[in-house]
Amino acid sequence: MQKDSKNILIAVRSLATPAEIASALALYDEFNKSSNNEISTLLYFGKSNINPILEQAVTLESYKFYQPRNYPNEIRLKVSDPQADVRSVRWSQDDGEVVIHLEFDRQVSEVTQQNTITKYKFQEIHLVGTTDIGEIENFAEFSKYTEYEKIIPVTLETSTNGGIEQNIDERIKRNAEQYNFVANLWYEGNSSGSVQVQKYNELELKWQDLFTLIQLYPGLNPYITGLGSIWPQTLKFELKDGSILHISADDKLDSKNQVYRSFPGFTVHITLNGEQGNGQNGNLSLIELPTKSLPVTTVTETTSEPENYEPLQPAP
Amino acid sequence: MALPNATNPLILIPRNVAVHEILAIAAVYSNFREQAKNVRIALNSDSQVEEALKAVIPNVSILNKIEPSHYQISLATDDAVVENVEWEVSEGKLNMYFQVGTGELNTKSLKINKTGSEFDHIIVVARNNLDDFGEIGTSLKQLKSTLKFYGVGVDLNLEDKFVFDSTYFDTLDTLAEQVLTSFENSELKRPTANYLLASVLNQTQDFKIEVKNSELFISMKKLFDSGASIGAARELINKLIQN
Repeated sequence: MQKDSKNILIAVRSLATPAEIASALALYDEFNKSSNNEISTLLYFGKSNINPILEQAVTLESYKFYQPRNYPNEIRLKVSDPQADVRSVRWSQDDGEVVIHLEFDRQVSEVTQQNTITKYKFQEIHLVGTTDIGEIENFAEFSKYTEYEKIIPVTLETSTNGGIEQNIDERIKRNAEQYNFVANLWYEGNSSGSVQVQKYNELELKWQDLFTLIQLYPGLNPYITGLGSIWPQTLKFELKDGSILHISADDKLDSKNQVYRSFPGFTVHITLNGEQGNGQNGNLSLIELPTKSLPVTTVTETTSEPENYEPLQPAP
Repeated sequence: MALPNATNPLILIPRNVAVHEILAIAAVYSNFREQAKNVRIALNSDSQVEEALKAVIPNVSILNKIEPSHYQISLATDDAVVENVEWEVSEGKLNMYFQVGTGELNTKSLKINKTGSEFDHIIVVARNNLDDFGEIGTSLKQLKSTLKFYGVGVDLNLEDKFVFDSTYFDTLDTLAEQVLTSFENSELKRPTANYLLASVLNQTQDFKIEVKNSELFISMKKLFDSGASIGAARELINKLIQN
């Protein structure tokens, strides 16, 4: 069998933990970083509630999804000389046509078309967080189109001890230089039984910050509430101390999807719902923000800053 | 112009080939083989020349038909983006797998064209029309091709269908001189010189027909200087005539 590239699928189980997702993305980057374009890598996530936020992330970072579609993509030909081998294949695509130049190692009187089929081929499928491809939701639906040579399980232990963690760190470092998401940081307190929101500060937030945050709590179960069609209204994480971290899009963002699609410059609001209700919460340290007492102001739709506005500076 | 520096040349034998033409072709074949080229001769399967060729050229490599080794496969992609093409060939089956990024392939638009042969140059001697080569010529014309033709002793003109070039001097009396000229500065060895000398003797009927140009005698000197002999040349002619 001759190939001029290697196709790899990184499959993530439907109920993947954030750490598994981060590992999958790190694997993806690692393959593509070292491939010199000889490796084609695709990501596949089972149908999961976490998809929308991931889709957003991978779209912005040019990750490619595995999107099986049922149409012919393999052409089967009959070669008149069964002993003939292919000496070279060159192909190009231009002006709505793909042209393949075939050179056999001998004379071949006829090459004729037999049929066309639908097939997806991977040399490797890396299963993240499981050794059972059956845990990849919906994969069976596509399996009739999909061929693979071997499955390589990627467990969390592998990701921790096998150098993947370093890859993540490298990816974060690299991406930090490439992406510039501006996020508005909000605190959502629960003071005196009423929800109060304070627009507090603006700072740069990268998706990798989020994944870093998630990685710090690999044992937690994230859950999402109020999903929008393509963007979660609120993403909640239960932290170890029992508090809840919300990551949510605001109404303005939902009503102007175009805004967040036009990279860069969309805003992500992080709301921290502290148990004590005053917005002062140790969980802030998770993203290395200083903890301090915050003034509480009822939220208003205004761009002006409250009188008692006090900028919060990111930790050095 | 000199004979091309071909790696896999193919020399065509025309229908109704004359003895002096066979000898001239044998000289071209011999010259290529002396340069360690993978040279072959093609002639129609119904030709009676094959035995004669085998008689005068030891271990000659002869083909009775020419089939393509190069194919072009094309299909419309419309808006589809092909990211990669893989292939797998075994036991007469060739599967071509298209990795498509977006869109769909239009597989119904598939076209398969024969585009070339394993030969990098086709050598024709003394004939200007592919129709003179029977089925061999017909099969060559069917190749939508990148084939390169080279004519020796003929001002080749294949119009736009093929790439071609040739060596031809209308002042020369014999085909052997045309062949010798096409060798240009390559070393002339004895077997090749004998073929050319035999060709000259046969075409001029041992110089009984009028020779118009003294260049022939200069060529004869080159042949003798390269080791050709009248005896060896006559032996080649006799072998051909007997076959």
